[in-house]
Amino acid sequence: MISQEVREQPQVRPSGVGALWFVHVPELRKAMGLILVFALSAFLLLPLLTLLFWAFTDEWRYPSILPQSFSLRWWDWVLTNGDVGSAVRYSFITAPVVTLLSAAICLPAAYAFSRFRFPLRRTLFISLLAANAFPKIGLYVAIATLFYRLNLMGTYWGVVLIQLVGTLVIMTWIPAAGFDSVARDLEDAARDAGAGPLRVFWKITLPLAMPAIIVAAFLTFIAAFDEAQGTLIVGSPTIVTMPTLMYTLVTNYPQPVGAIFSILLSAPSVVLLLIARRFLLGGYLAAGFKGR
Amino acid sequence: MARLELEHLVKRYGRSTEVAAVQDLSLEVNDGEFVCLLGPSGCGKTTTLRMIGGFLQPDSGDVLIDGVSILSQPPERRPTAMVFQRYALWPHMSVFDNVAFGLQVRHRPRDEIRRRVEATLELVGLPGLARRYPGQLSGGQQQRVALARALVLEPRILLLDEPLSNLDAQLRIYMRTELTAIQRRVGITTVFVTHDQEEAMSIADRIAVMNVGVLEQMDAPEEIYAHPASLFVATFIGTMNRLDAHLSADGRLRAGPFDVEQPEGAALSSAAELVAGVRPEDVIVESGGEGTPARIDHVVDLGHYRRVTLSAEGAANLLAFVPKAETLPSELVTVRARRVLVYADGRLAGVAEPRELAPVPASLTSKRP
Repeated sequence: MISQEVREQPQVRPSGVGALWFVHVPELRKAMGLILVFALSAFLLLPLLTLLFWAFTDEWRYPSILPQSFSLRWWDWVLTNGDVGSAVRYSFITAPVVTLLSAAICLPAAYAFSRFRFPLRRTLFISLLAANAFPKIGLYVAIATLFYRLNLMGTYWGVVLIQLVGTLVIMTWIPAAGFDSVARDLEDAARDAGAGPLRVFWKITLPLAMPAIIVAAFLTFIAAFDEAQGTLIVGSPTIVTMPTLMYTLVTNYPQPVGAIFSILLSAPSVVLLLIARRFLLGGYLAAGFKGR
Repeated sequence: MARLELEHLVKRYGRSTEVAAVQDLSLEVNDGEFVCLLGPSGCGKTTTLRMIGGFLQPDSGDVLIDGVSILSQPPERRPTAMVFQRYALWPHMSVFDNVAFGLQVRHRPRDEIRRRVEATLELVGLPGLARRYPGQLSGGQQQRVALARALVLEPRILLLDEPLSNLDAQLRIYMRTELTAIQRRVGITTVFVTHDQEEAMSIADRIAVMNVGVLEQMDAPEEIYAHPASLFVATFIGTMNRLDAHLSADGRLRAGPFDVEQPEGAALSSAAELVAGVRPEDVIVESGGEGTPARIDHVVDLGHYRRVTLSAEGAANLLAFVPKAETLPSELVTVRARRVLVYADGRLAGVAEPRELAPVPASLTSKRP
């Protein structure tokens, strides 16, 4: 059997493969894939699992793999805490407003970037990345000095503006790509059928770009919802959102509190993800794009 | 129905110094006529169609429907309807909504919309698919929906931009006959753009052959084949032996291996560049005839006829189509030309047809190569 393998190998495997020879053996390649999937899953899921354990832990000391005792004690503490309630409220009145504002500013810009040719188009398009390309903290400190002059420090609109900065690139680039993907012919065909430019936009272009816009809106919401650095600098101590409260909780309270709060913080993202799945995989998209 | 006129249309892209995409194009499409704009890619045929549809504004010239200029109207006001090359069906709308869109835009009553959409889907052979989405249809079905969407508005001019080029060969031929049948039934004035000469020959009432933005010839398919007005048309349509020609001292015309009389009424000057075109079915291959000696290099049997490659003095790769019924000579091969098209400086100057020769066998003319 071994000799047979040796004889067959020169045919199976191209010469000069070297260290990556196993890639060319089908069984090993399949096994590699599985191993990779497991490793990746473990890498992603184990921290979350620990988090979940910590959230329901009463006592968990070092050598033990599982907590010694479980309890809902800390859940009770977190959910009845006044600071937490106010942070949840602030989070839910900032993130949606940031999303709407970002959409109002960026969607027309995205359409313009996609459909019109104007001077400095590429430069402007790339420059949107600027806010995300440098360490945020430096940018936020610079903005903070400006906000002091404008009396925006510690105000609701100050927080909204600082959260808006990081979302601009998301809300412009993704919808721009969405508008790009709407073939001109589809718009021309609607013009040909008798629709004016505005109706073409509402009936053809916008619905077809909508998946991209929804994705961008979700990402924007999550980015605003999770934003901590800028909010901490501009908002505290008057405006404390969930992510900024997290700093306080993690440093000042036992570990289960941080874990519980992490779960609460991730809940909106998970819900949005599930909604997005329904939106993007069901309905007309699956049907309409098959042939294209 | 309507009559379409293009008057001296000019369209340039980019810098004005570049060669125009369409140069001084004038043509007329009669009421109910099916006209093909035919030419190689980049010849300006799609540009012309888009100018008629209103998606491009010509730099100069005019587009008239029944004598009235439509140039100032945007596409949505023009009485034209276009079928796009890749159908351009809206993927987020059902077949019904795709076809109904134009009627909804015009605020037609709901009953009327339903009636007309169903009637049009029936006309294009797609009843019962109204609830489907474009992505669930085959290429041929999408094609029909695109046609229905154009026809439902009862336009005065139907514009088709290479509508069959995305279908596979068999379906393309089938849709070709379907399309002509529908066009005849509706009786609509139609402009059809294609680069496929066989397609144009088989469906058009008249063909407008374009090359680098210039209209080379506009005629019925038979006319285009029999009397190509320019050397470009002669070589673009069908197969043509292109031979260098010159006037000999005795006033006769030497065209490659062929020696013919000057065409009647053609005042050929020796200053012009003369080129002769001979269709392969017009080359007579015989044994010991009075023509020029030649050698048979290659014979390809194509079923109902044979394609023979010969070499003779003045023509290295002379093509001849010989009917299956005729035997090919094995020795003392000579060639004569039944019909020689003579071009002076690229334009058709005349046709030399020696009277004593028999007409082309029916088996060759009926099947255009």
